Amino acid sequence: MQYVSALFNGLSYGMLLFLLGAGLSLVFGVGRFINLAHGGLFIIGGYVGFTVLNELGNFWLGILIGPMVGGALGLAADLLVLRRLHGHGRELDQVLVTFGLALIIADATRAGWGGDIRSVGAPAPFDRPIEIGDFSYPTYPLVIIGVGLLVFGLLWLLLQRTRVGAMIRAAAGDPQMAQVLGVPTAPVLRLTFALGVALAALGGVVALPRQALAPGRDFEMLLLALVVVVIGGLGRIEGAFWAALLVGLTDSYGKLFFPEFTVAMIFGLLALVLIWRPEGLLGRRAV
Amino acid sequence: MSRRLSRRDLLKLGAGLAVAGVLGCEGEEAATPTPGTPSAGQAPSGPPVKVGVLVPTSGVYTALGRDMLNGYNLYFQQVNFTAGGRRIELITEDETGDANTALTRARKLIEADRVEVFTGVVSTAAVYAMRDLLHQSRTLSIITNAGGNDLTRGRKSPYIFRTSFTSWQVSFPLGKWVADNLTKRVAIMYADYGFGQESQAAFRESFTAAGGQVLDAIPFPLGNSDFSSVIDRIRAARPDAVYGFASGSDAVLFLRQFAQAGLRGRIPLAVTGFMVEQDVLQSVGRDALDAYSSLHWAVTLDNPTNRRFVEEYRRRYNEFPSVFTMQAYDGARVIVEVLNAVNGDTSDPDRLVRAAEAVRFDSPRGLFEFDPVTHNVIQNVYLRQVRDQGGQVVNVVVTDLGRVRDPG
Amino acid sequence: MRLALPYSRRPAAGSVARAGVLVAAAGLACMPPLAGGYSLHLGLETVTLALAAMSLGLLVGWGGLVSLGHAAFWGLGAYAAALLSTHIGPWPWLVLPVAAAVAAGFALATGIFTLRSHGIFFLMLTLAFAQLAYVLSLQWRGLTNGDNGISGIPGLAGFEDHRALYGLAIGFLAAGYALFSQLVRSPVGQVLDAARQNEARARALGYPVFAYRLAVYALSAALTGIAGALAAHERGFVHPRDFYWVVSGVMLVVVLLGGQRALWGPVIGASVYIAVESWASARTEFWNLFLGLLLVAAVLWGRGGIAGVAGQAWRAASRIQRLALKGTDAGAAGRARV
Repeated sequence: MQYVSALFNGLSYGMLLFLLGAGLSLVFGVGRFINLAHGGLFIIGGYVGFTVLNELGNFWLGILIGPMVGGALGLAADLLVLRRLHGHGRELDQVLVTFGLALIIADATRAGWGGDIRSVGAPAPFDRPIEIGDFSYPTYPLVIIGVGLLVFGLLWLLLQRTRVGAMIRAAAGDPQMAQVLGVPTAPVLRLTFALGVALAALGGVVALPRQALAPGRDFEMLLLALVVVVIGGLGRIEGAFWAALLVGLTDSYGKLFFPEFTVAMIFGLLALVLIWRPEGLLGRRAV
Repeated sequence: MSRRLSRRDLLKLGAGLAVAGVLGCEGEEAATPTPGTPSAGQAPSGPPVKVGVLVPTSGVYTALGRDMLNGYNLYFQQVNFTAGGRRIELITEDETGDANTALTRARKLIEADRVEVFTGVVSTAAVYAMRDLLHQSRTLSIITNAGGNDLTRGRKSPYIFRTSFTSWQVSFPLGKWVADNLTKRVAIMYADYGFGQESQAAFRESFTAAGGQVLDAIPFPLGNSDFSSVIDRIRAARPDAVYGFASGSDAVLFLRQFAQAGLRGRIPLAVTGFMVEQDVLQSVGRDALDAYSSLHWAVTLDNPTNRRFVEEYRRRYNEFPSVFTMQAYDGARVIVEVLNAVNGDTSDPDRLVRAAEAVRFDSPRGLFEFDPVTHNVIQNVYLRQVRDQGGQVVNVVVTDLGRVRDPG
Repeated sequence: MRLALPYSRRPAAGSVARAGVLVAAAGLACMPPLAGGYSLHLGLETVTLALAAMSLGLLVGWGGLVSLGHAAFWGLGAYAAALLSTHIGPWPWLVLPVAAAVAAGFALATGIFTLRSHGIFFLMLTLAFAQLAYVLSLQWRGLTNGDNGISGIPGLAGFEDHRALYGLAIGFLAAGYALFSQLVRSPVGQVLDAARQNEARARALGYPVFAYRLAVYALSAALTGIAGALAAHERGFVHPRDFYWVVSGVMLVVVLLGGQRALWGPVIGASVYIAVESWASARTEFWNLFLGLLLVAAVLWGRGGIAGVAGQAWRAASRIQRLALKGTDAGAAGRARV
């Protein structure tokens, strides 16, 4: 029975990581830079969701408002700071700036919400376990799996079936070519950035009943998101999806068999994948 | 080209080092005195006593650091920041969650600010890191949390006193109580780091000595977010009770997920007290109900000093104090009693140590005294249970497990 | 940038001038030890961080290899020093070479894999190996004492006085600088730089890019290991956090802050970083905010890092000076490029 539970645990954890990694991957695909403030947006989503739940008493409202706040902050960050750093040869500048933003977010959230541990119970009707004979399993992880699959489906439709999606794909494939062909890369990047961080914030809200918010969580999540994105191959949504599941399952089965080395398992997986395929599972050569 | 460049570069290197030097010296004057309330009663004379407070105000232990600062301020305020005829000036630094950084900050307090008394420290690793610094500088140090056993044993120092606990002190009495009163078949889960390992070892020591049997022992990494696999292993071991140690967000998540899995009420929990302390309870609430735990204090402990302490704290901060607040509150009291005993003369470290050894008072936790050999506190440990008391989820004392002295 | 620039020997006069400059730099560097105590501690923290970051800067600026795993070398050096000193003896001739060798050995063993990746993948792969070392340092309790760290490490024999240790660290920093500035002008450095800009072409011209990279990677690791060992002796304490990715992150920030195409940039970067941290942390609990604002400001208003800004000022000054002498500006320092 432990093996069945571990399967669901791994899948639900993987879906959380996918929400986090999808945004990071999208932003890299279009902007060619790694947003190190991504974990910060994750916990901002969480804190907003927590406040919404406390003030308005509705968890699902938090799922709506959290990503909106995250997306708005993403737009603001792009307009105020990141916009000035677009373009080739400034990737490390972007990394440095987003790392600075990550530090600012860490202290700002601590100032705003304090250093206390914040956690919430699962919302009804998902607050009690499913029981089948001797086997019982909490319901909420299944909700996370559902949200993850839904987001994956919607993202796929957006990218494959809409004009905006085509522009994003064009900009991700070859920004210079896209520019030549008349795709407005700067607005596309801004939109992608807002979408990406909104997804991170969504992850933060959805994770709330499973994870506690406390100082330091942002950098933990950033690290995991980076692992997922790199294993999957940068800029590839499908890559992030499969990599997130792989990391989630490695984590849950690792905890079952080698609890002392759980953290090592994830980085061991990363090392193995990159040694085997230096550009990630679905990555293209010379990204 | 290369010759001119290299000389110029070297000059720049020199300039860089000069900047390093100047900035290095700058640190000398970087002090933040927190002015105390001016004395109302007797007029303090002479320069203020500098007390260095090192607690985390950032990182994972932020909440503990805040509780401790509140505890210091509450007590010092009661004596108008005055003791031994001198004003008390607190200089606070951020311990952070990193022992190396904590060491740097301790060095700043001792070598740059030249504090006369040092206090605080949450992390065991940090206290081990700065042990030699405190010892060699002969600074009277009142540690108000970090509970690693070795600070009372192999790494003890005459200048280091501890108002909090050793991990052995808190968990050893619990093992015997569980074996005698609850069950002889338990599963163990614990956070896989120094304090967790020491706690579970102490529990196991007295539990197995009393005839108990450990069915499974499950470590998990610090900062774990998902306890389903831990819970699954507990379920598979079919124990009659679970002993555990986790703290902070780990404790919150475990208790929530344990309840979510429908195990609360089916398998009793008997844990090291910190796992269900106030910082955890305010977040998990009813999901922690019924858990047994051992600790050297409880918010509901029935004695006049504790009633006054809890009441004043609630009036001032509008929430319950935690054990961390209490430890710092007592630490402040030790400092005040020492300063009173030496009439504010801090020039002789050994005299301060003798004065600290003689400190005895009625603490919120009961009688407070230091072990003259190890300088660790000797105190009662209580068996408590999380209960709903008039709508509030708090720890209620079930029984007194007696006075406990770390063997050293 | 021409490939295979003939390696020109410096005239003896240059060496004398350089020695003079070194003495001057050493004089200026004496300020922390003279002040003693906490300043000396900050000075040592700065110099050890600068040594590690300079080693990383060589990889970033000339090799184009942005590593987020240098904490592994730092930690290995620190733990080698801690274990040798507590079990055998704190002799510098034993501790420092072993610290360097262990770090270089780890670099060779992992570099075979990591150096086949590029860009962000290289960064993540180095991170992965460093995190594996971190977990090992936490879990191999019999050797490392786990999460409690190893405390009570004796002072380095002959350098128990931290003034002497500071002098030693400065010596390593100067030696590292001299070595690296020779290296970047040597054929090896030229090939690395060429491969950074166009790897395919450098390979096509027949240069052993991989071997050169591996050698420089190991050299960088060795000096970082020495920096870690010096820090371990200065602190008297090592902790698994020495392996943690945050340590690598700080080194990288220091490199980028200082200016990635200036070998001396990390020295200033480390000074500014540690100064801002200790200054802000003594004044506010929100000291990370200051670091964050510093980073954002450094990028928005100071391209090429502090070295870039300083280099511009320096060039402006020397241009005025050279107006009469008529010369060309050959400032290689500054200007960030990836």
